Amino acid sequence: MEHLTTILIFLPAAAALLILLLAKTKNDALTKGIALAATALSTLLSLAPLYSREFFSGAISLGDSVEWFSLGPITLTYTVGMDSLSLLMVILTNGLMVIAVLASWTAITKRLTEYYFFLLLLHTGMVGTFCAFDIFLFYVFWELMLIPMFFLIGVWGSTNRLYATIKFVLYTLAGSVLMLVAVLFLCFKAQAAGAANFTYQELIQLFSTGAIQLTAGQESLMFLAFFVAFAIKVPLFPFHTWLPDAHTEAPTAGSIILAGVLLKTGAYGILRFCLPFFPHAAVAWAPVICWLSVIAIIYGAATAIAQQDMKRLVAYSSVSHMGFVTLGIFAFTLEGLSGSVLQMIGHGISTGGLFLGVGILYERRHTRLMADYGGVAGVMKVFCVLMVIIVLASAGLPGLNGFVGEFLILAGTFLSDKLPNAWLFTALAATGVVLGAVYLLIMVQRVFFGPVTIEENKSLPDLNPRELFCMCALVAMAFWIGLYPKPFLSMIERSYAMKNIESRLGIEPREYTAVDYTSAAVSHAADAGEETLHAPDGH
Amino acid sequence: MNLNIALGILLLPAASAIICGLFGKYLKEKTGWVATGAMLGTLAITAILWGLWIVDSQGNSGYVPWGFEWIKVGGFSIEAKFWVDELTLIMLTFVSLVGSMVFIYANGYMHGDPGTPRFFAYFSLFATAMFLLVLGANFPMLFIGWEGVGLCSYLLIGYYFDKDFDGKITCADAGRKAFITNRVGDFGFLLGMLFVLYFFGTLDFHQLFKDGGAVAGFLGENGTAMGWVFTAIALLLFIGATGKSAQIPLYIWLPDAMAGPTPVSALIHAATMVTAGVYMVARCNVFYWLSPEAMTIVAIIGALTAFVAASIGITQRDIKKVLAYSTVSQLGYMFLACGVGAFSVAIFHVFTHAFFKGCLFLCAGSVIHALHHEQDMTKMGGLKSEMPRTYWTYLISTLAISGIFPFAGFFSKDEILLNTYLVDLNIGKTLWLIGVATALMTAFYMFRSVYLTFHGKFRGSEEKWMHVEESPNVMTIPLIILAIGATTAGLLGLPAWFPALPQHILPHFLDHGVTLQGQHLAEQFGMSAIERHHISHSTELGLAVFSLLVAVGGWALAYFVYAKNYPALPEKLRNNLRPLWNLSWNLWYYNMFCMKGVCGGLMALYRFILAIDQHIVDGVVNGAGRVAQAVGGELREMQNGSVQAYAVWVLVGANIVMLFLVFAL
Repeated sequence: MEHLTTILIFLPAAAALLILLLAKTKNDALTKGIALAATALSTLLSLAPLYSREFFSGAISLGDSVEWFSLGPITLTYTVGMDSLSLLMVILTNGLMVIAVLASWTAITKRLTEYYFFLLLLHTGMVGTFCAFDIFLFYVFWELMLIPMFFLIGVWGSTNRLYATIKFVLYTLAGSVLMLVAVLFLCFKAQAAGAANFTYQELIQLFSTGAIQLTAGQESLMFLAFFVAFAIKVPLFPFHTWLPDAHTEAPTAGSIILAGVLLKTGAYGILRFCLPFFPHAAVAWAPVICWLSVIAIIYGAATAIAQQDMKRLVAYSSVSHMGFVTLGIFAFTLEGLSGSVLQMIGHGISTGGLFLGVGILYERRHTRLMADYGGVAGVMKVFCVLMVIIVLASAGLPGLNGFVGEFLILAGTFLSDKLPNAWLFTALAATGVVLGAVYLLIMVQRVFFGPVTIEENKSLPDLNPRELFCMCALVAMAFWIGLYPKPFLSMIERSYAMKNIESRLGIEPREYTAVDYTSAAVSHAADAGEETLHAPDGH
Repeated sequence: MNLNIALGILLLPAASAIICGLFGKYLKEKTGWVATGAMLGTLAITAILWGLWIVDSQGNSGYVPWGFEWIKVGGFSIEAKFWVDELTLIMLTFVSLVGSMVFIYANGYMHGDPGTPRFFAYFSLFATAMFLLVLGANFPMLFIGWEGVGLCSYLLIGYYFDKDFDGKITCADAGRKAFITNRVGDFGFLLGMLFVLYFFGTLDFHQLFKDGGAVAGFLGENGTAMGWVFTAIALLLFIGATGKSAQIPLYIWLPDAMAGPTPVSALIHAATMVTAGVYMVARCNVFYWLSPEAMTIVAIIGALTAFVAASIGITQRDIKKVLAYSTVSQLGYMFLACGVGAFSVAIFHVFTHAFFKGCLFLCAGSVIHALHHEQDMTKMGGLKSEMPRTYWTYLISTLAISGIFPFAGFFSKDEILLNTYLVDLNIGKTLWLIGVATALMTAFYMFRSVYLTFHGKFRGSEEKWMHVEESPNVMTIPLIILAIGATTAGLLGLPAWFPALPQHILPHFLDHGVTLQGQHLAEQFGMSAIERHHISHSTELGLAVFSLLVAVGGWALAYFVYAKNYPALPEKLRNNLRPLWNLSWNLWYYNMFCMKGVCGGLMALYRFILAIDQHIVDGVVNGAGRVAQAVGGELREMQNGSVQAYAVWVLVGANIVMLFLVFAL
């Protein structure tokens, strides 16, 4: 168990190397088998900490920390580990990777070795990003995610793939460079304050003891440098335009991972670094960020409504849903923060499912335009049922995952005492709930309902067992989070990340009226009401 | 035996939904009986709950013991908890009773339809959601049911997903319209819920409304100073109610909701879904009592909706459309009652309405079934002799909805009009007049539908007439049971002037437990609440006779126009009153305004935003890329291989970075 994090990070990379070594055998089944085995094994391994009581003590555990190399006075370490936030994200990543591998099973036919090599390398990059607790190591994994994605979109994407992938990489890189500058500056500051290394714990320690002193201007700039890098990944309006292109051109697995995991690294970065490191700047910038979030929610939904292309529609819906995440984070309430993390997970599941569904259709008909479908409900019955459930989850129907996160975010925003005009943000964000139903139902309508007008659609085969497994797994998760989110919320609440945010930002749990269910039968409110009717203070 | 048995009401239809959904392939039409059995089971459990209530002499309301914590963050906790009290019991009674009848009927109606398992899976899910809505002990639980019935109506209205509905829109369109309109209402409901949470710190009904509960505590702390909070909450919640219960301005989905199979219409319009808004307002009566402004608005919206919908019903030719608008109109009455503080009377009308409206829709289904999907009343006529059971039950329900003594609708509607007449508001008498005018129109258009459908000569094709026959027992027996309800349900709310029998049973039962909670609070804390005058029983009787005369007048008018002088007189009236007729026939142009104006306008706006996104927001990004490319092309010249030049550039660059670090940070 001790080296579990390291194993989880490098297991996929090892599998990737194995695939390369076995490339000469030209055995496609073996390649796919290795990829599936590696991702499935990762998933199982990442569930192990759930059975450990000590894991939830609110610290970073199951990790390793060794000195990596020294550059003059700067010592870089390999420090990895997990708190329950990391673990949640890692489980999400691993689970979606299994689905991504299965979604690529027959869809990818060219350059199989390279494809799975990059996919698994990406896997390592993502898990590493969520588990790195040295700021340089984080940066390394952060950048490592870019390269495989660049190839996945650029080689296995559709027609306009080069434009999309270059845009994706350059845009994200622009943000990362800003972050690098901030990381370097932070390291100089930390060193001046007597830091031995740049592990996360060391930095947070220096910040909370006040050893690192930043002027308001410095903190603001540092915050922005980190934030913009993360906001591009989220993506927050107006940094979102790479997303629809990247999604549209990416292969199905690429879209699932992009929406399901990569966007979450941005929000994760905000929670892990921006808030605990620069709390004052975070509060100062919160109104601007919340405005951008609210704009993202409405704008993303509005543009999604006007789409003809299913993948673009889902991509813009991501902009809308991730707007909720940033809104919830920058409301600085327990409800909002927890809701945001839950929304991240929920969005990974429901949007992953939407892209999977679009991919399933694409594999059959080779078109993403809604106009090329219609009446599919009568042809692919099982698929229709599962897809409609995923759509409803995405639209925030209570009982499915989307609702819990969105409701907590709305409540958390409304109850915020650090955010001016919180009610206005809440009201505007709530319109996203209406608009979400509009674009998703438009898609369901055009694709599934109506008569079958195109001959080719009359003989579409329903789901095969592999596709059925993927869809069912996502649907089951959607129900679980929707019906019993408590375990997830308790994991979020007990995470090291939340503790840091709470202590650095001074967030107190709100007090609620105690609800007392002890007496199952309570006598009449009205009866008792009459007795005390004229009693109080002698009116 | 404890209240845990109430959970069976949720579990039975839920289990049925799962069975019908998963094993429908094997069970085929047997799914109908699975679903019906589950529904009858809920009826039995409701009866047991009544038994428990009566045995427990104190008549205690309480939580269902079983429950679990659904969401917990810090001190924020939402429990999956259920609550049984007077209001819950009344709601459960007619939902399970009328629901069971509709389920039984559906077995006959859906016979031979290949999608039957899917239909009953949705139908059972619908019932589950409705029961959840009624049993939920807090706002979020109610909201799950609230959204659940919205979802199921979407699925059921769009049941014939590959068919056109009325030439203009498809069935799937109608379903989507219902869902999205409801969602607009949910927006208000969600915000209302957050307001409640913010100001009162709990979302649990009992914790909020009980004596000494959160609302009382809030009043004790703030007195009357924070009255706006109640107005805001009441109005936001009411926005939700206008969506679900089809009031102005969100009623447009309900008339299209009949795109689904007729039993669906019966379920949506009578016992479930549309009653949810009235139920929610009655449940939250405290917020309304504490805000006379909000109540006045509710009353005005209710009265206007009742009037507008009735005026539309007069000219429609589609039998289901007439009934649909009559539902909107009757719901308007219910909100009028809520607005004048007669919440228990509103629920009483919900109760009686469930029987006669359920019966009317199922009769219409029976007619449509016999005529092979003909819904145009101008192509019907003379069905009385061929379909006697359908005719008589339809007639009884028509008598009930028109408010003819002694049928159920007479008592509940009259009670609403009486309370409106008595309310101490400037516009009280105006609202009463609107209510009376609506009653006139109701009797007129309902008897119009009777005469057009069942009397006179058959106006359809010869071939259709050959095949007309009474529906099978499985369909007509539920009709008869509902008709009995439509005749006798009024006994539960006899007016004060009625001799010998116990009066106001149902309203008093509710007032005792739930619907006067707010009035007590208002009195206790000296808040102004809406009040009603008192008049003598003989005046009350006079008003009742008057409204009866009005109803009979509407009936007589319909007889004169549509039975005696058909089709010459209607033709003549249409030509002479062309502007009015156009207004009514075109639904006051409101639907057109919503679809073309609001939806069309929004779609144009969304396309515009998309264009901005592509050309401006993304344009800047691509532009930056192009500039970088161009600049890079120029900068390439710098790499000329001269080491001295490189050194100069390095120096310049370093200086810029230094300057930046020194001055900017």
